[in-house]
Amino acid sequence: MNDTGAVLATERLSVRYGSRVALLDVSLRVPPGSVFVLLGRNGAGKSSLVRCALGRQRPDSGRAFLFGADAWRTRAKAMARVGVVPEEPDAPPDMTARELASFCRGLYATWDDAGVAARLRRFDIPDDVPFGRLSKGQKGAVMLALCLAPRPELLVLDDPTLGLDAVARRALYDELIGDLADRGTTVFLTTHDLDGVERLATHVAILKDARLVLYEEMEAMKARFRRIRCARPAPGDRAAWTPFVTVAERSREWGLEAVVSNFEEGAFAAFVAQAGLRDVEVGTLSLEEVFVSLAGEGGGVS
Amino acid sequence: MSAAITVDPRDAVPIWRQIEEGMRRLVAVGALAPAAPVPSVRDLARDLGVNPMTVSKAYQRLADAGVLEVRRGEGTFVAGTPPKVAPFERARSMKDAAVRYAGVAMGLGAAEDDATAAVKDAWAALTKRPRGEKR
Amino acid sequence: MSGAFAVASREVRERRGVLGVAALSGLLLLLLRVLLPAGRSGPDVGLFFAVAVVVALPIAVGLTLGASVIARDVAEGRLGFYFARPLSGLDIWAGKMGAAVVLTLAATALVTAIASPVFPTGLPPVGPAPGYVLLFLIVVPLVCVIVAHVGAVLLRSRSGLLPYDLAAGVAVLAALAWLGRLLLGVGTRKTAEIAIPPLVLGTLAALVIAGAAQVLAGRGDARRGHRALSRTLWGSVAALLAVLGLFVAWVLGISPSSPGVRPIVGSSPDGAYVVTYLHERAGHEPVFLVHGATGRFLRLEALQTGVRFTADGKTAVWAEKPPFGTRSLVKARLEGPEPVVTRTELSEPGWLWPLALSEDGSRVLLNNGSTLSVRETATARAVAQAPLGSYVRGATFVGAGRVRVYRNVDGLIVSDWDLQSGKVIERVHIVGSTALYDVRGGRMIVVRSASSGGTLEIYDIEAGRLQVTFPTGDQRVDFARWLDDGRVVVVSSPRFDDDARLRIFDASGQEIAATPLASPARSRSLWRWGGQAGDTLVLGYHNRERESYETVFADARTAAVKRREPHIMPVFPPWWSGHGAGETRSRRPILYFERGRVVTVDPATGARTRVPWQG
Repeated sequence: MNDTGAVLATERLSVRYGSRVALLDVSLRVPPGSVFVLLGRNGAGKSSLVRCALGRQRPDSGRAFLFGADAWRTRAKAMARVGVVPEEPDAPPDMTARELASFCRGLYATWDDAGVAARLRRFDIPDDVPFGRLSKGQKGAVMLALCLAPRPELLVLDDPTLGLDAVARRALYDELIGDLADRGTTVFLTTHDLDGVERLATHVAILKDARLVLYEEMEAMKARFRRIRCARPAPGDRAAWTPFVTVAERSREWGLEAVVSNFEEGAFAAFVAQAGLRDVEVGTLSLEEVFVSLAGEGGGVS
Repeated sequence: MSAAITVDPRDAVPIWRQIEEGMRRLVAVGALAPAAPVPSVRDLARDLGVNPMTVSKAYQRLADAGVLEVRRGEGTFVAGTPPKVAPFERARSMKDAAVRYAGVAMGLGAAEDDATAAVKDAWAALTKRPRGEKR
Repeated sequence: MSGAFAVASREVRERRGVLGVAALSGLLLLLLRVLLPAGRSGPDVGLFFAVAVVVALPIAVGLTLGASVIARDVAEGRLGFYFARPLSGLDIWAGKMGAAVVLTLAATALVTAIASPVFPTGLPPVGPAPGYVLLFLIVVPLVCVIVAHVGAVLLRSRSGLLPYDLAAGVAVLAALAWLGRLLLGVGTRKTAEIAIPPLVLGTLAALVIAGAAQVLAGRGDARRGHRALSRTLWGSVAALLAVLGLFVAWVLGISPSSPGVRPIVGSSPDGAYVVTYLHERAGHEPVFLVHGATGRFLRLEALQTGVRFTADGKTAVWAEKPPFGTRSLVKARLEGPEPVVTRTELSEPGWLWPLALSEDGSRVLLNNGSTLSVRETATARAVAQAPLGSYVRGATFVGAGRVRVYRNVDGLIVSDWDLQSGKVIERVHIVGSTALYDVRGGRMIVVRSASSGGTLEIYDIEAGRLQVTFPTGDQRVDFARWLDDGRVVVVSSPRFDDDARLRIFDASGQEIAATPLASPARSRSLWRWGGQAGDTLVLGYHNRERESYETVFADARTAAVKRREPHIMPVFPPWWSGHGAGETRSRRPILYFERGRVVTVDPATGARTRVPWQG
C-alpha cells in the first residue's frame, strides 16, 4: 500500500538466492524530488534491491513499488517515467548514438531530441560510431543522455561513476545537477563515490548484511553523528559513553575515540562535565566515515 | 564570485545554512554590491556541486530576510537596500554561535583569553577582501 | 505492439547480412548450373547441390538466428537495455523472435527465388507433393528457430539446471516410447497417427510458450530465465503427456460394453461365446471374445483374421501378428467363462488366414492367398499343403482327413482335397458367373447370372450333380438360404426397383409362399438373412447412407410378415465366416444391433433386452 506518493518504495522486501539471504525485510520510500543514496558494500544487497525496485526481479517476500504500483507488474508502463543508467553500459554495441536515439524516441511520449544532441556535443561524442567502439566514459554519457531525453520523473543510477576519471565524474554530476535544477527529478542512486554524492543527497540508506542499518534524511543523519575524542581517563575511572549510543569505539595511544549516533549539544556539555573528561574534541563525520563505521567490519574510525 | 562561497559537507552546519551564511557575509563585507546579480540556483548548484534544492532553500530564506530580491523574468539580485536585522534575531543567532564556539574551546581545554583571541583573529581575517579561499 | 515492431526492425537491421548470404548462395547455385549443365546421362550434380543448399540454408539460418537472437543477449547481459525501457516482456520477445522468423523466411525466399531457374518446376523437388516444399522450406526452418532458441537458453545460461533438463528430456522420451509402444502394440497405426499431429503441435506450442516465459519471467537474467523456461516447458510437456496418457488409457479401455459402430457380431455355434467386431476408438479396433452369460471377455489385438470355432463350440482358433512381435497361431479352449489360451509361433512369413477348423479342433486350414496349408492347432506343425489358395470363397473340413474348398475360378469349382494322399478331386465345376449363397448337408445353393437373366440352382456336391433350378429372371438375389426342414428361403428384388419379395421354395424348386417387402429407404441396399427362430424367420435391412435399419419377422410356413421392428437389425456373422459345418445352426440366439448396442428381441412382442455383456 502506498499512500503519499513515494516515487519508489519497498515494503518488507526480502530476496534469497538458495540459502544466501541478499535482502531481509527492507522497507524504504523515496519521496518525490529527493536525491536518495543507497550505500552498501559489495554483496550487501544493493543490486537485488534495485532489480526488484525496477520490476526486473520478483522478491521472495514483500513488495516493491514504482509510482505507487507493484513494480513487477507495471514495469513496462512505469519505465516510461523512469530513466535507468546501469553500472555497465548495455546498449546494443552495433548501434550508433544516432540510431539509439531514434530507436528510443519511438518508445516514449515525450523526447527531447535537442537535449540529446546538445549533450552528445558537450561530451564530444560522434553520433555515427557504433556504441561498442566508444570509450567507457563516452558510453556512460550516451546512456545518461538517452536516459534524460524522455524527461523522466525518476532517475535510477547504479554506480554511475564506476570507472570514470575525475573529469568525467565531475561532468556527470554537472549533468545531474543541471537536470535537477531544471526539473526537480527524483534521483535514486547507488554508488561508491561517497565524496561526490555527499553534497547532493537529501536521503541516505545503508545496507549491511541484507538489512537496512540506516535510513533517514541526510541532514538529520549529519546532525546526530559525531566523533568524540578525549584524553584517556585516569586509571580506575571507567569510561562510559552513556547516554550516547556508540557505533564504534577505539583506544588510541593518546586517548579514546568514539563515533556516537545520537549527539546533542546540551546533553554533551552535561556529559563532559559529569564524566570529567579532558581534552574533549568533537568532530563531524563525512558520509564516507559514517558509512565505514556502520557498514564496515566491526566499524572502524579513521 | 561563487568561489567566495565554499561549502563543507562535513560541517555540522547544514549546507543550505552554510550557503546562506556565506551569502550574508559577502553582502556584509561588500563583496556583493547592492542590486548586483547573484548566480542562478542552477549555476551556483553546479559550481558548488550541491543539490539545487539546497541552494533554492538558502535563496528563499535570504529573500524572505530581505537580503536578496527575486525579480521575475530577470533573476535574483542583492537587495537594493540592506535589510534590517531585528536586534532580537541577531542576538539570538550570535548567542547560538557563541555557545557552540565556547563549547568547543572549553572541550579542548582552552583558556578564555585564548578563545577570545582566536575570535579576534578570525574577524580580522574575514574582513579582508576575500580572494578565492581554498578548503 | 509498436514496441515489438521497433525491437524487430532493429534486430533485422543488425542481421541483414543473412540476406546477403542467402542471395549469394542463390547466385552460386546459378553459377554452378552454368558450369555443370544437366547432362543426358549421369547424375545431375548441379540440381543435387541446388536442392541440398536450398533445403540446408534455411535450416542453418533458422538455427543460427534462433540460438542468438535472445540467448546471446541474455548471456551477455544486454537484455537489461530493453527492460529499462517502456517495452513489455512480450514486446521484447515477440520483436526478437519475429525478427528471427522474418529473416529466416526472407533468406529462404531469396535463395529459392534466385536459384529457381535451376529447378525444372521452379521449386525444388523435395518430395512427391507440393506440401513437401512447404514443409522443408517453411515449417522445418521455423521449427529450427524455436528449438535453437530453447536449446541455446538451456545451454548458455550456465545455471546448473541443464542436467535436470536433460534428465527431464530423457524421461519424456521414455514415457513417449512407452506410450507409443502401448498404442502400436494394439496393432493399429491409425491410433498413433491420430495422436501424433496434436502431440507435435502441442510440443511446438510448449516450446514457444516456454521461450516466451523465459523472457517474461526471467526479465534479462540468464538463470531465472532458464528456470522459468524449464518450468514452463516441462510443465507443459508433462501436461501433454498426461493428456496423451489419458487418451491411450481411453483407447485401450474399450470393452464390449462400449457403444459399437458396426453391426458385426459372430458367435460360437452353441452361442456360449460371442465374437464382436463392433467397437472402435480412435482407430483402435479390437475384437472381443465374450462369454455371453457372464460378460467376461478376452481382448484380441492384432488379429490377422477372423475367429474360427469347432462345431461343438468348445475350441476357437485365430492368428495374431502384433507389430513388434511374431505371428502366432492362437488356440482357445472354451470350457467355461475363462478361455484357456495357448499361443504357438508361426514362423511362416506373409499373411495367413484360417479358413476352417476340423470338427475336434485339432487341425486348422490356413490360406496365404496362393497355398492352402493344414496345421496342427496344438503345435502349428504343418500337415499338408496344396496350391489351392487363390480365389477361395470358403472351405470346410469333411471329417479330419478331407478338406472341401469352394473357389471362384472360371465360375465356381468345388474340390475335395485328401490330406493323406494329397489328391484333389473336383466335385462340381460351374462355368460362368456364379455366386455361392449357402451350403448345408452336402448341398449348396448358387445363383448363376447371365445376360439373359439368372437362375438359382441347387447342387449335390458329393454326387456332383445339379438337382434343382428356379429361374430368378431379372431379379437380384439378396440372399438364399437353407431352412432347417430342407426348404429354401430367398429374398430377391427387381434389378432396378427397390421392392423386394420374400419367397419360400420347397426342395423341388416349387415356390410355396411369397410376400412383398417394402424397403424403408428408397435407395440401393440389401436385405440380409438373420436366422430362423423356431417358426419365425428373421430378416434384416440396412441402409448405411441413411443409417436406416429394420428387422422383419415372418412366418416360417407362410412367409407372411408378422412384425416389423424399426431401428434394429439382426447382426450378421462376418462375411469371412464362410460356410462351414454348423455355421448356420439356428440354435444360436439371434442378436440385434440397435443404435450402437446389442440386444435380444422377442419376435412375438418386439420387446428388446440388452444382452448382459453390453452393459
